[in-house]
Amino acid sequence: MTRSRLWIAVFLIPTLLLFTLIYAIPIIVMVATSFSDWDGFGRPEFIGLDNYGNLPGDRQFLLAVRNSLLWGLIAAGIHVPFGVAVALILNRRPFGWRFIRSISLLPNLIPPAALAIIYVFVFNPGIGLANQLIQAFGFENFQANWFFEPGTAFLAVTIVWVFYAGVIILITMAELAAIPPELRESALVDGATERQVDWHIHVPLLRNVVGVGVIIAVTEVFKTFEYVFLTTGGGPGAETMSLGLLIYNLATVRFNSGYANAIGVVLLIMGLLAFVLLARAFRVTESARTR
Amino acid sequence: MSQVGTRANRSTGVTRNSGGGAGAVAGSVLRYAVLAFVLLISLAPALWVIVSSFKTNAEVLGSALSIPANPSLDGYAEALTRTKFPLFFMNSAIASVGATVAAIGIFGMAAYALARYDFWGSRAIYAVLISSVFISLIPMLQPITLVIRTLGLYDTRWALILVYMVKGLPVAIFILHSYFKTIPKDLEEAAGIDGANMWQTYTRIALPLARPAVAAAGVLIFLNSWNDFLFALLLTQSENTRTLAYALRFFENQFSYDFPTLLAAIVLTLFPSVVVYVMLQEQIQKSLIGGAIRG
Repeated sequence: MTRSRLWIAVFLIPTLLLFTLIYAIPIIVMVATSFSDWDGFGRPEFIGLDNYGNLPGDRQFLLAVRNSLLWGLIAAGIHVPFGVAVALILNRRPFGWRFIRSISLLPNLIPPAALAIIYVFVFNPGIGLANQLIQAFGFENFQANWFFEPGTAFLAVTIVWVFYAGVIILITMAELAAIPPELRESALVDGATERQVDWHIHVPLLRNVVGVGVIIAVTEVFKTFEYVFLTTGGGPGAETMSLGLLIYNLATVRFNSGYANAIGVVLLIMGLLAFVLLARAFRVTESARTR
Repeated sequence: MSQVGTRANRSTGVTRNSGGGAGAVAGSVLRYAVLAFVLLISLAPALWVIVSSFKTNAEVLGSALSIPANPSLDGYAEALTRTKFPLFFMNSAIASVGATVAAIGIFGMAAYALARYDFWGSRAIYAVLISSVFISLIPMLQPITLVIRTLGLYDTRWALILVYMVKGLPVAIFILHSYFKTIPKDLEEAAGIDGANMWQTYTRIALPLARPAVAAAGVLIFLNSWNDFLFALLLTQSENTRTLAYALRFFENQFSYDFPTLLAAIVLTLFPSVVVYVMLQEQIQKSLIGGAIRG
């Protein structure tokens, strides 16, 4: 008995140690120092709720929250529906469907930093593909410095990820493959068109996987970092600021770690809230998640 | 299921005659347009960078839509001689392979203990470990940096390995735990009667049987580690620890106004990811489906 207990301890301790060190302790430090004035090195000075009180007046913070929410909406309203639509199309097995599915996943598998840098070139006002393509299509005087103009920066940052729905396509197709084909066949025999089968049979059965996809996509865009750090730097002004980048700037450039950690607490709560609310909205079940 | 069937039948009854004809043609045109768009947006930016990397600097500055007149490898030669590419590649490989192997080794043991033994607190421990899937490490980036500095690991590959492991913790525990649950206990019990201890039953019986789960979790941890930029930015400084994905940040300054070299450096950075994807495509797709709910 004690021998097997000893073994269990041996099996668990390394994991628990690592979890405590890089996970539990940082959470505790983040929450505790969010109530302090702290440069990240010296002694934190307790200042109560001052850091949180300063948030509503902080333009950069407000813009970062606005951007996260907007990106969350775009993820749920464009990114995921686009992926689901492509999955429904590929599910009809058109010519080259396997190839298209594979290719669609490629942008999700290269480092996000590489994708960001590629778009730095695509949107480069001098040598970039975007402007010259638009000019070639007849808008000869078109000129935009995509990542650096207030009117286009947010759009440009969004374009870097919004149509790369490979993971959504993949998991939706897996779910479609699990739907018994008799459902589709009997509906077709009854005179339904393929489109009606998609709308009335497939889409309702996709609720769970769409819920999972929306949760993944929304929590992912809350974590946006490379796509702004390497392109706009959060600018112009703070137009494209993300919460991750703001925390990074505050902690490493301005040594305002107490305040950075208060924003960390906000980001953590936003992520949890998004998860809980979306899981409830889509009635994502345990069985779907543990599939 | 039957409910869905009747609902579908009812609605098709109403709109039976609306499909087909011009609408169907328009529909299939639209579908192919969407697929063409997917191919274009997924490939064109990278292909354009690859094509441009074979141009001369004058050609890059000339027209984005041109084809290189005399495709040249000068950019690649420059990129390879003026940066420490092999070193960055090795750093990426050490950090991500190291993190993957260590994560499977250590979290596999925990997953096994939690799946096989029902002891006081076992469910609570599992719940706490899994709950970390809902909380990413990004909010804690300052305290994590502090912990790594305090441990004296700043600017070492160990720092990256530890953080990448923890990033992979929930997915590894989840996938391995649920797989161990599906393996019948009989074999292990027989081994136990023969006097094997927990370590021996784990390494000789359970782990080899769990190979599909190990592959599924391993691929996800490896890709996540290989693609990381943020923690390399936070936790490393010198060229000796610089990873490939992080090195991208420095190319722009190093090769400013030398576009072919800069673009070649980017292509070289992409190359390992593409090779890994082509080689492990099936496994990667399986892993992504299985681990759809990751961090």
